[in-house]
Formats: sequence, C-alpha cells, structure tokens
Amino acid sequence: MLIDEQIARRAASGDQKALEQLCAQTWRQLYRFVYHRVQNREEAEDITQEAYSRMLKARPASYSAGQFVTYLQTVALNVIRDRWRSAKARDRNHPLMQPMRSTGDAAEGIVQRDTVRRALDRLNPDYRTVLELRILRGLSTAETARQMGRTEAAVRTLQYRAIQALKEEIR
Amino acid sequence: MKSRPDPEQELNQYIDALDAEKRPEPPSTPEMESLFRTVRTVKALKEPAEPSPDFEQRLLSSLRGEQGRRRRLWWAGAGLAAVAAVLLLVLVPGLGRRDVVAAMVQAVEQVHRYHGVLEVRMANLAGEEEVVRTQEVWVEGDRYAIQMQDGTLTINNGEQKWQVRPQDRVVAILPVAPDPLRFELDLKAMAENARRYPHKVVGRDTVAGRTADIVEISPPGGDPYRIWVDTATGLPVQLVTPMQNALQTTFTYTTLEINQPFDEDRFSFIVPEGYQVVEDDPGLVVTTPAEAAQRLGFEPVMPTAVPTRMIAYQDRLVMEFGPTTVVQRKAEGTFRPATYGALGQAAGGLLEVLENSLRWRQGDLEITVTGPEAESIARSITPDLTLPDPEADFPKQPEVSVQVDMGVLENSQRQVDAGHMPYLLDPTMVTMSYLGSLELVLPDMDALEVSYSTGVRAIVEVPTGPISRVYLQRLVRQDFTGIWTVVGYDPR
Repeated sequence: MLIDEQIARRAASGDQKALEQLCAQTWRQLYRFVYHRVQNREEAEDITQEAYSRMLKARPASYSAGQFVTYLQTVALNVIRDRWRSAKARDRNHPLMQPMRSTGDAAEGIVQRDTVRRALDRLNPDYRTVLELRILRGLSTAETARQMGRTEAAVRTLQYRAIQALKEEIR
Repeated sequence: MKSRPDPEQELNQYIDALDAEKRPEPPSTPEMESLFRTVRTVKALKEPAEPSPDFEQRLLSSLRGEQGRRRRLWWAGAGLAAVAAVLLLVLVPGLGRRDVVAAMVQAVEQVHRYHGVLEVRMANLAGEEEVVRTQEVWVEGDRYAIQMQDGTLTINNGEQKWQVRPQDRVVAILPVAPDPLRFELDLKAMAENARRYPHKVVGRDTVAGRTADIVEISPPGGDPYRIWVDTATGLPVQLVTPMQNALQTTFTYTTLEINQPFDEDRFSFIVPEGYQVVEDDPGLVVTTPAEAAQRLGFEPVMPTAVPTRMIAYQDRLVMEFGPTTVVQRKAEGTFRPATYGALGQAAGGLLEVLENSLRWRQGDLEITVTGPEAESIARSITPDLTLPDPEADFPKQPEVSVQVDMGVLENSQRQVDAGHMPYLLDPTMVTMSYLGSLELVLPDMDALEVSYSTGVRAIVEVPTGPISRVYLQRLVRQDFTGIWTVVGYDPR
C-alpha cells in the first residue's frame, strides 16, 4: 500500500488529522490480516483496534511510509500473542504466532486455498458435506442435521471426524 | 477441578462461535487447538466477514480517545479534557453526524424475517408511469416466497426453487440460480450494496405514509440509483433503478412487517392436490471445481474470487458472487454477439458488451458474466480483456457521408424514450430501415453483421447489394438508451 510520506511524517509528529488519515488508509488491510488468523469478526475488530492503540502508546520516532503496515502487523501479532498467553500461558509456538504462509498476498492465498480445497476433495462425501454446510455455509447444527437427514448428535460426531480427517490430509 | 468438555461439543461450540463471527472460547488441549486451526483453515476459504458498519468510526473515535488521554497527561490538567472534547467536536466536522447508511445496515442486521407488499411501477422518459405488478413477499434469510396478483407463487427455500401456477395447475421446478430477482427485493442486499458503493443523502420524502431519507448510490461503472430509507425504522422501503432502455422501475414496500412469525409451511415444498410437477433441470449445488467438472464433462475456468455458491446444470455451471453471476457452458456453433451490444476483445476473440453483462469464448467454453462486478470478475477469468473505447473513432471513415437532421433525430429519440420505435436502438435494424428507404433489395436480416461497435459508433457489414458497409453513430445520446443513426456507407 502506498502511503503518503508527508502524512506519515505529520502523524509521527503527533498531528491528529494525519494520524486519522493514516488509520483510514490502513485499517482495512490490517483487519484482513488479523481476520485471516482469527477467522471471526469480533476478535479481528478488537485486535485491530488494540494494535492502533499500542502503536500510539509506543510513539515510534517515525512512521516510515513503506513499513507502516508491516509495523502494525507486528504489533497485531503481539496483541494476539499476549491474548493467547493470558488465556493459556503455555505455548510460545502457538500456531497463530507462527509466520503465516500468507500475509494477504493474493498468489500465496490462492495456493493455500487450493491446498485446502484439494484436501477437502479427498475426503469422503459425508465429511465434505458436513464441513461445507457447517463452516462454509454457516448452517447451525440443527439445520445441518435437517439437510443431511441425521440427528444433531450424529452431525457433531461427523464434523469432529471430518476435521480430524482433514487435519491429516493437510498435514 | 474443572472437568474437560466433551471434545465433540467443544469443537461444535468453536464452529458455532466462528459462524456467528464471535470470539470463541480458547481450546482446552493442544490436540483441540490443532482441530481449531483446521477449522480456521477451512473457514479461510471464504472471504473475510466485513467489519461492523460502524467499525471505522469506532476505531477513529478510540484513536481520538488515546490521543486525548496522552494530551491530558502531558498537560496534567483534568479540566482540560472537557475543553479538548469540545475542540474535537468543533475541529472534526462530521463527528457525531448520523450516517443514514450505517444506521440502515445495523437496522437490517436485526431483521430475521419480513413480510410485505411490494409494488412495482415503471415509468418512461415522457413521465408516464403505471403499476406493472403488485406482489406479496415473505423473506427469511436466504429463503423467500413471492405471490403475484394472479396467484402464481414462487418459492426459493435456499435448496430448491419452484413455482406454483394455479391457472395451469402445475408446480414447476425452476433452476435455483442465477436468481437476480432476489437482489431487487432483499432488504439485506439493498443495505449491503448501499454500504459497499459510494453514496450520499440527497433529500427527504414521504413514501407510503412514511418519512424517508433519499440515498443516492453510485456503483462504479454503473448509473446511480436511489433508495428511500424509513427514518423511523432505518429500513429501506423503496428502490428506484436508473433509466434503462428508456424505462425506470420503482420498487416500493407499501406494507412491511418485521420479525413476525410465518406459517410453518411457508417455504415447504407442497404440491397441491390435482397439480402436476414439471421438472426440467433443477441443478445441483457443487462445492468444488472438480465436482462441477465431473457433472458437466468440462473443466470450468475459475475466477480468483471464491464464489458464494456454484450450481451445476446439465449443460452449464453457474457461479454466484453476490449479485454477480458467471455462467460457463460448452461453446457451440459460431459466436454471434448481440447486434445491439458493443464489441470488445477477450481471450483472443470478440467480447459482447451489454449494459450489465460481458460474454465471450475462451478455449472451448462460452462465458457470460452478469452483474455489478462483471468487469472485475471477467478480468480475473481472462487477463486480456479489452473493453470498447466510447471515444474511439471509426477505424476507417465512410466513403460516402450521409447528412443528418438533428431536429428529426431528437424527435425520434423522444419517441424511443416514450417506448415507441425500439428498433432504433439496434444498429442492424436501423441499417435495414436505411437500405429500405433507398428502395434497395433487402438482404436477409440474419446476414447483417456488426463488425465494429464501441457502443457509440458501429459498422454493419451488408453481404449483398450496392452498399457493402454502413456506418452508424449514436448522435443524440451516447449510452444504451441512445438511438442509432446512419452517418455514412461504402459502396460495393
């Protein structure tokens, strides 16, 4: 993303208007970056907001226009790490923290999606259907059960096994 | 000691949370976290959920708050905070101003189902307007039912679409996609499009006894259209399309009930006694290109965006990207673009450009993309897509120029705007009419071929007779509603 050097300099000197402009130019990219990791809107919004808040508190000496978004992404990763530590102070190698194969780059994203799609294709049809209905179409367990002609308990078991199978396929 | 939850239940709750775009509970075990990660990987196949409509505003407000706190510490005066807040309101115009579209998106999010009477009116450029139909609609999520005045009932329950026709005593199974009708009706789609595209409030009006703000929406590359937003409920109650082919359509909810329960069987497939079920090719929802290829017998070309739904029919694949659809089928015979469209280039061949769609051949497939995002989606399918340049002149000037009378043309344009002489919108029919006016032996209509069209200038090839080529131009109005006029020709 191209960011105006002049705006970046004014923002670094504490110019409120410039900060808002910088934020308005970059938040969508940061939101998508965070969403990619957490896959839910509530957390993605919270983390995006906290990243900007920390950026302000840290008061970096300069906002290099070229690296501003990368800097924010690093701050966002720190926010995710801290949240993870406070929830489960255990695993520094939490998958959310590992370098992502995709940082929003379109080509890498396509490759990643293709890998998952191929893995889904290799699953048996019932596994594929339950994941499609529950995760991609966002149907409730009850709605999925109705569509698949099964009980809700059977859907829960099926999706559990389907996720286990997919995990092995992707590995 | 807290016991660990049942793993199946824990995974189920995690998926529920992500489906609802809510923060999930953390995993209870490393094994469960690896399953959660797999769920996220699958969900990443979908486009990220859009942030809340007011997120940018909240973010900027929090930014101002942080700055304010820093200033208060710096100045060490609590009393100054109030002054700073007042200054902020004064110095940042628009802070606190009500955003009609953001409020509408929020109001629509609270609508789970609605039932209303929709009136559809059409007006021509002469200002004549008539009610063309009134229909009763029931909408719940992806499901809807529409009952026309003659009793015809169309239902789409998300899985099946069918029509109950009392006059024929028939229940007809219909293809579930493409289904452009729902996007004209649906409150959610109306709000979503308003949010997505540039918009501004242009006035206030009364619709069906309700006070409403008028919002003008300008889709990129399209004509602006307007919606009316009820000031009391925040919901859209009227949509007026741009003038298309000299006609403008107004959709108005004359009544609207929100979140009232429907009959249990409202979206159930029920065949009334004595009715016959007619099923042509209802299509099958497929989830992957491989599955589509297996059913269709050809490999579809995938755009870079992920479709919201794919439906494979016996002879074609329909991919939906919100209100934009892509249809792919095996190419057959010669590609003949519509004579009233403009011509561009795609995949090394001709591209048909209509007001709302693009169609071309790529390999052994024929591809049609229809809807507001047609151009960007088409470009992701074929990188070498060239749209016609409306400013471009004829590649070669006519050997004989034809004089035109602008007064006569403007009168003809008014006639067309009023719904008469629609053939003036088709360059081949104008050519035929011109050849007739010269008292020449007319060629077969199908033999005329548009060899060049920018949408403003066109050349029609005439296979027989003393004239080989006719040059036409839209002189009065340079869009799809403008009439064509002969401005020259080449003798054979």
